[in-house]
Amino acid sequence: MIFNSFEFAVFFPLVFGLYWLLGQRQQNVLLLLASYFFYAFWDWRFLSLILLSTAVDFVVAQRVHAADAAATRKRWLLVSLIVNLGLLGVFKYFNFFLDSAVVLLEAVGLQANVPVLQIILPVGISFYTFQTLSYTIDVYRKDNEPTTNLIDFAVYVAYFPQLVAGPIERSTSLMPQIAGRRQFDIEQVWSGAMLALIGFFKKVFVADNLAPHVDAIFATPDPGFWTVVAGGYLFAFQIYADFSGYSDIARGTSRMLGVELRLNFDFPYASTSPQEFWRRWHISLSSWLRDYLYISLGGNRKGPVRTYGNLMATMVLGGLWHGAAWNYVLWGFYQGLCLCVHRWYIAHVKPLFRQGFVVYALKVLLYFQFTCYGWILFRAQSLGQVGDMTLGLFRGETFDSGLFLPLVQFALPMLLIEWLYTKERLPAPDLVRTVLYAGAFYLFVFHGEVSESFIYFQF
Amino acid sequence: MRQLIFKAILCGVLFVVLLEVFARAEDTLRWGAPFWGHYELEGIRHSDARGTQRCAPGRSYKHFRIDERGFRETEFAGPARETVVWLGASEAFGLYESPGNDVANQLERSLRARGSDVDVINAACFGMNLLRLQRVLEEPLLGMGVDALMIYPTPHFYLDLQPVRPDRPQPAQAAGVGFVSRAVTKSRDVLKSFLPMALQDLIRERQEQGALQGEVWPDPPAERLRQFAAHLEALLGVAQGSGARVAILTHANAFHAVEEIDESVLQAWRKFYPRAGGDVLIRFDAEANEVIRRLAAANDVELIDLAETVSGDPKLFADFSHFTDAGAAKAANRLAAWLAEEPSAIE
Repeated sequence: MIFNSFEFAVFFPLVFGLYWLLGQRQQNVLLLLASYFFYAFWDWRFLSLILLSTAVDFVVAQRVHAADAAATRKRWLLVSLIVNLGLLGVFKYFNFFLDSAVVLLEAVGLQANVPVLQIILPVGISFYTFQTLSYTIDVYRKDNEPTTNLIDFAVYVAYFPQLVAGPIERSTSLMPQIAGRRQFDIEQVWSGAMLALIGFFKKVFVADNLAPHVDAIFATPDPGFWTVVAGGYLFAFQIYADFSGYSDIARGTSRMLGVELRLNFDFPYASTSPQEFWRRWHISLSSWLRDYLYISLGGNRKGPVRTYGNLMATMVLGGLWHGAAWNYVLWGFYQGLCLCVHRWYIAHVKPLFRQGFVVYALKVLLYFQFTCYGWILFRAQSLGQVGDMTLGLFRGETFDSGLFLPLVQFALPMLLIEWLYTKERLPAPDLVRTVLYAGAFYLFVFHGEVSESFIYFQF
Repeated sequence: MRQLIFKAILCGVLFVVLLEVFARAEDTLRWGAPFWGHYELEGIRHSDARGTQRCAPGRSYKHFRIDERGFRETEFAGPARETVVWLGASEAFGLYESPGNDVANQLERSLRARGSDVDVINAACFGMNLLRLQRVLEEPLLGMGVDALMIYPTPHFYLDLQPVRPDRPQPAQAAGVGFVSRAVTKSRDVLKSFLPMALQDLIRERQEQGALQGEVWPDPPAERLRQFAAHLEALLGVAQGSGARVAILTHANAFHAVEEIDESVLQAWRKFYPRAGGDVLIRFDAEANEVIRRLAAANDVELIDLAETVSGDPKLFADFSHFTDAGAAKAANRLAAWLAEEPSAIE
C-alpha cells in the first residue's frame, strides 16, 4: 500500500479512529496488525522476512544482554548481522554480484554458466533490516536495554508509517514511545495532519510533475550542456520532493498516532559542503552509517589515511545500500571523494574570504552544482549513460529556458511553502499558515500527478 | 478550549473559502474566465434565434474556444481556397483530445502539410442531434460556400428518455443564477480519477437507476431507430442540396463486438441512457450504422466507414465514444484520404 492511494485514504482514517478508542496495549496490537496488513497489501509472502528479522533480533538482543562474556555477546551479535545482512545480500545483491562476476569472468575470457534466479526485491528491506540491526547493536554496545515485550518490538520493526522508506528509527527513540502511553492531543493531530499534507504536496504536486520532464531529459540521446544541467537540477528537486515528501507523510501520520519520528531532511540544498549536506540529507541513514559503520571502522581515530579510507568505505557502502547497480557504487564513491577533498581542504587551505551572506550564498550555489552532478550519477540507467551525460557537459548547446521552466512551476512553490512552513517567520501564523495549507492542498489535489510509487521504495 | 474551537472553525471556513478563491483565480489567470459567476462547459452552448441549441459565438471554456461564427476555433483561421466542414456532436467537437489535436485541427494540419489551401471548419458542438445539425447546416453553413461536408452523426441521442424533438425558442434566462462551487466541481473530477473502478461502477449504477424513467429496453427500440433514419434522411437531403461534396461517417465506439465489452466503460455510457439496459447501446449503434450505410447508398452520398476502422481499440477512445489524440488522428487520416480522392475539391 502506498500513501498516495485510495486504499491508504480508507485504511488510515480507520486505523486512526480505532486507535484512539483503545488502551495502550491494544493500541500496539492494532498498530502491529495494521502494519502487517499495510505491508502484506503489497506482497504478503515477504511478511515472512519481517517476521524472521523480528524474531531473530528479539531473541538475539536478549541473549546479548544476558551474556557476560564478550566473546558470547559478539557471537550473538554475529547471528543478527548474518541474518539481516544475509537477507539483504540474497534479496537485494545476489543477482548484482552474480551478474558482475559473470561480466568479470567474460572479460578475462572465461565462459561462466551460472543459474539465474528471479529474485524480487522486497519493499523496504533496506530500511527495516537497518532498523533491527541498530537495535541489536545498541544493546550490544549497552546503549539500550532489550525489550521483553514481543508485540512492542514487532511494532518497532514493522511500524507502518516508516516501514518501507524510513526514517530509519533508533530503538532509543522509538521503543520508549511504543512502550509508553500516548495521549490524544488535538494540536498534535492537527500538526501531524498538516505535516502529512505538506508531504503529499511535495510528492504528488512537485515530484510526480517533475518526473516526466526528468524522464524525457534522461532519454535524450547525446544531450548537450544545458540539457544535462537541467537534468541534474530537475532530478535534484524531484528526488528531494519525492523522498522528503514521503518522510513528511510518515512523520505526519505517525504524529497523528502520538509517535514522533525523527527529522529526515533539513534543507539539504542549503548546504555549503558535503559534510553539511550529509547532516541535512536523509539524516536517519547518514547518522546510521556514521554511528554503526564509520565509527565501527575506526572513524577518524586512526590517523588521516585511515580516516579517508573509512570515509570512502562508508560512502561506497552507503551508495550500494541505495541499489544493486554500479552507478550507485559510483555515486557513493563520488560522495566519499567529495567528503575527503573537503576534509583535506578545510585542514590545509585557509579561507580566502571572510564569512558573510554573499560568500555563504556562493558556497551554497557552488556545492549545489556538485550535488546535482552526483544526482546525474544516481539517476543514470547505466555507467554508459553516466559517461554520455558527463560528456554532454562539454557539448555546446543553445540555452533553452523551457528546460528549466518546471523548476519555476514546481520546485519554486515547494521551496516557498516549505520555507514558510518550517521557519515560522511570518506574523499572524495561524492565518498565514491556513493560506499556506490551503495553497498546498489546492496544488496537491488539483494539479498533482499520481505515480505508482516513491523513488526510495526501490531501495 | 472555546477559543481553540473558535479558531479551528475560523481556519476551517477560511480554508474552504480559499480553495474556492484559488479555483476561481486559476480559471481567471489561466483561461481568462470571469472570476464571479458560472464557468462550465455547458456555458459554451446557447439557444440561438431559432431556438436551436448550438455553440455560442465568442464563448469559451478552458481551451475550448468558439469563434465569432459559432464554430470551434482551429489553428488556421484565415481565408482559404477551399472550405471543408466537419459536422457532428461532442465526438466531432473534441472533448478529450489535448489542445490542437481534435479531429478538425489534425485534419487541417494534415491537409495544409500536403500543400492544400484549406480551411477546416469545426462546426460540431456537444449535444447536437441530427435535427440540430440540420438547423446549423441550413443556417449559417449553407450560406458560406462549403466545398466539402463531412457529417459524423451520434445515434445514441436517440436512446434518451424522451424521443428527439425539434428545439423551440426559449425565453431568455438570466445567466449564472445561483452559486456553483468551482472547487467542488474540480474535486468531483479528481475524485472520479481516484476512486477504484469497482466503486465508480457502483456509483454509476446508482445514478443510472436514479435517472431511469419508463421501462428498460431489452433490445434496441425500433421506433427510435426509425426516428434516427428519418432525421438522417432529411439531413442528407439538405446537405446534398448545398452543392458540396458530402460524406457521412459511421459512428465509432470503444466496443468492437458485444462479446468483448469492457463493462465499466459500458456502464459509464449507460449512465446517460438508463433505458438502454445491458448492451442495447452497442447494438443500437451497430444498427444505426447499418442505417447510415443504407442511406448513404440510397442517397448516393459517400460513406466513410469509420466504425469499421477504429471501433473497439481502447487506445483510440477516452471513454465509450470520444476520441483520444490517437483516435482523432486516425479519424483525421480517414477524412484526409477521402478528401484527397478528388483533387478538384482539395489539391
